[in-house]
Amino acid sequence: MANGRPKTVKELFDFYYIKFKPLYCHLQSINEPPIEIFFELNAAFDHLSRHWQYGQTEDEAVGAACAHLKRGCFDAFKIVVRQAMDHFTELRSVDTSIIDNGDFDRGMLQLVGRIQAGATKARQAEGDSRDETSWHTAFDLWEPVYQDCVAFERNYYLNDKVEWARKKQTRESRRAAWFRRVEGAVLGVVTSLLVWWLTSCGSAPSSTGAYPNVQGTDAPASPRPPR
Amino acid sequence: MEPEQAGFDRAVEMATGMTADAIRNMPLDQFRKDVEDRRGGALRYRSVFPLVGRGNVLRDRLKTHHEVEEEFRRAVRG
Repeated sequence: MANGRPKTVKELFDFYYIKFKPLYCHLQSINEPPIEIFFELNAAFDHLSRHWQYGQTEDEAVGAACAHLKRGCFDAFKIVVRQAMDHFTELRSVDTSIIDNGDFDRGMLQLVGRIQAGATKARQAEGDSRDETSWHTAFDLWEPVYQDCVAFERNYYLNDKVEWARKKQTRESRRAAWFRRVEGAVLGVVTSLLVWWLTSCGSAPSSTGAYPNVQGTDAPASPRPPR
Repeated sequence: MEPEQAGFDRAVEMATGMTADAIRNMPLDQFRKDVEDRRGGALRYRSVFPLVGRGNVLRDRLKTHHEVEEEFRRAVRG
């Protein structure tokens, strides 16, 4: 095979064992096996059977079958990329800038940028799977992206320091919430005292105020209204 | 083994926790049972169309090429 399209049944199964099965097992291990991959397997099996049932040449049958297997591999790459990007979005809600003085963030953003650019380029190169000359081109582009995704999961998403940053962030947000509550309570008390003081000053009898000074006199401060 | 293949195998090993050779040698149903035992539940099989898969028919309507590409772009952008 050697980077070319498989031409015999033996080479087809080499491809299956070297690329397809490990990727399929990866999808199973992350609980993301898509039903579309079974459609590809079914189609590959059907094409292969035509060599014996309908007299197609081995090269023809294998060429058609391996195109479906290859498509299944591309599907697996895309699912792995999507998962990595979902996890990246999840990580953005955590303040990871406090890890390793910002080196963690820098490395992560660099890696994610590489994944995004690589995935877009590989997707555009997929083209026709039956083209023998460029059969392996898209594979060569997808594989580094796949390896970067696995590195992202291991080095960033599952990094112990992320959990530490998440806990620290939770602690700090709790502390900030507590301070806000105390601040509100103190402000409430101060405001109440101010209002009480203002109203009591305004309504208290005074010697120069609206109410006459009745101290030392027998007369009532104000005549009682007749009954 | 070619360096690219070695890198691929290493990535698979990191992702699955098993050696690439063991994965290749193990029957698929055995691998599935191992994963289900580790996860403590049955695997979930579902459609990921239009991100993956050929064929453009989605139950009651067709997806345009633009919609399929947009789905891919959304997945890559995160």
